[in-house]
Amino acid sequence: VVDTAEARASFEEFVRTRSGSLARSAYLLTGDRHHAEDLLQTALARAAVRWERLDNPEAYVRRILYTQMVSWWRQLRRRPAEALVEVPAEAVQPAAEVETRLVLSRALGRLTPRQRAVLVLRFYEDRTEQQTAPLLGCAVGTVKSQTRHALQRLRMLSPELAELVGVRAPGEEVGSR
Amino acid sequence: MTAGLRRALREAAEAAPPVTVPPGIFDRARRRRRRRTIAAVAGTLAALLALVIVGPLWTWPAPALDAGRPPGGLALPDTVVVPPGMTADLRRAPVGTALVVFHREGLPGAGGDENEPLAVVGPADRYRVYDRPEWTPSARDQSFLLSPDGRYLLMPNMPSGGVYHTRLLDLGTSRLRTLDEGIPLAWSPDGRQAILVTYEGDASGSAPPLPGEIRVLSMPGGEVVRRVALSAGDKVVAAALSPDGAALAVQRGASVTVYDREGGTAGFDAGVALLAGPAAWTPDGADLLLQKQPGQLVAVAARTGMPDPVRSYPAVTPHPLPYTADLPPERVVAWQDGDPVVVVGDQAVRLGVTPRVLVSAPAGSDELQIATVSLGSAPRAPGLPDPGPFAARYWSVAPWVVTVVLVVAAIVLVLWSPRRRRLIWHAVRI
Repeated sequence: VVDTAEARASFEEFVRTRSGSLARSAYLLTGDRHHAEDLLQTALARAAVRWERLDNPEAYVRRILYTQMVSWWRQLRRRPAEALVEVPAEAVQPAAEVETRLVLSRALGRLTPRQRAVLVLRFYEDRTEQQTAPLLGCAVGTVKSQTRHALQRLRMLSPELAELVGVRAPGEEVGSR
Repeated sequence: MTAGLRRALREAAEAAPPVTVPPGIFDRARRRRRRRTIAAVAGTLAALLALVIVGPLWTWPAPALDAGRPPGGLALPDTVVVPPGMTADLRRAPVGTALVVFHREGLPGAGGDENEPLAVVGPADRYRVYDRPEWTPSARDQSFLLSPDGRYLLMPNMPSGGVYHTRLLDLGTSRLRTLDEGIPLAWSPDGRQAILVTYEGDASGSAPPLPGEIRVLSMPGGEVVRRVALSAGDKVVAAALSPDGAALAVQRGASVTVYDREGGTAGFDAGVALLAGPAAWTPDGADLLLQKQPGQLVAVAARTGMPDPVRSYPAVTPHPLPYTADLPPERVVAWQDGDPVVVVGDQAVRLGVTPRVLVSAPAGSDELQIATVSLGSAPRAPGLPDPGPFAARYWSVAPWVVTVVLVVAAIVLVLWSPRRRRLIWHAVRI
């Protein structure tokens, strides 16, 4: 009973201090507040049942966030149809921050779940390819290719983001650390 | 090169709407895990139970048994018992040859309706129950007749309209066949023929007279080989074929008539006596045994009715038996070394200077029949009852087991997969 009470207290402290950061990652992964809440609660619940045995709870919860996200979308097969149009690249016009965020959010929403996860891990959490691979349960080479394809797709979907994601030719390595 | 992307992602994250984490996740998660564990254990146990019970049932139906070479020989067990609980039904596990068939209240499978099941005992103490689909007539007509070789059961059946039919159950294959119209009266001593009686009109009523016909059928084919017309009069209460099958004795009320194959007839008035059973003819075909009163068999000349005191058998019952007016306590079913073998209540007894009990059925048995072919061997001590193959024994409960397993499995699925429910909810909401 004492162990459980201690674990509950430790868990609640973790939620109080880390849920904000975790929620932001969840939001970037899902692009939707409700989905982000479900995703975060699922990850926290799975951590709760084995809380006493976790050495690094945050790493565990984050890994659940990414794998669960991919798993959900794979099951639902709700990947939205992509309407690729040939839009010539235009010079990036200076845009307001808000507009850039909206464009980025829409573009992220049209990526595959794994591509979104790769971008969030690599460019939001600043993880290396070697750190990203085990979190997604794939090889480092897969992380590289997924990153490359994600950036290419962002450029195709939203040419106005070209400056953000770079203008390298397809197949060119990006952002290796 | 991707610094802009990093900055944009961070700005997007910082501008994300607040995501709330409701309190109590810790306890809810652990409760859910406990429920899942319990459900998983219950589901596993149910699956194992279903596997244990239903798995072996795939062997059903059991193959037909070779009635010609039953294991353990044809010796009668000197005692038969009430079949154990969940004894296999004969239709799912043929017994091949029946040595003893009896009826008694409270047999396994009794459903409380008028068609009481029978207990069938085969060689090697194989026990089966047979839940008869037949409508069972009164005890006087006998509700079943076991063939002398133990391979067949004849049973009267009255589906509707007051018209009786005779059904033949093959104990080697469990196949049930409808024969000619009529009520079965007796097998011939050699088992090659059977006697039926049929009436014009509703035979279930109690108001004579009724014209009709005696039919002798070749068995097991069921072809009619002999017909004897009956004028209106009393019902036929008993009939017996002579050992050579040439003469047929028929009793209607007090009148006994012997029909020869050539067409000749003879008869006598038996008074209160009754033909003593399917083997009422003496082995030489000269006399008939009549049961005059309980415990007394009287031999009379078949064609004149003159008593033959030398071949009478007084006081044959080894123990007091309840006497009913309808059913003769002694039914002669066979002859052994010149002595009649009679069924007396719940026992089969060989008469003679010293009556000897051959088979004892459970106390309270009201119908007992034996395969007379088994009288060629001395009775043996019984072994442990064999209630039949596992699959045949529990087949009747398999639907219930499957139902329970399916219900448990459905509960387990619901409890086991809250994520599935959440995904469905998301799909609906979006």
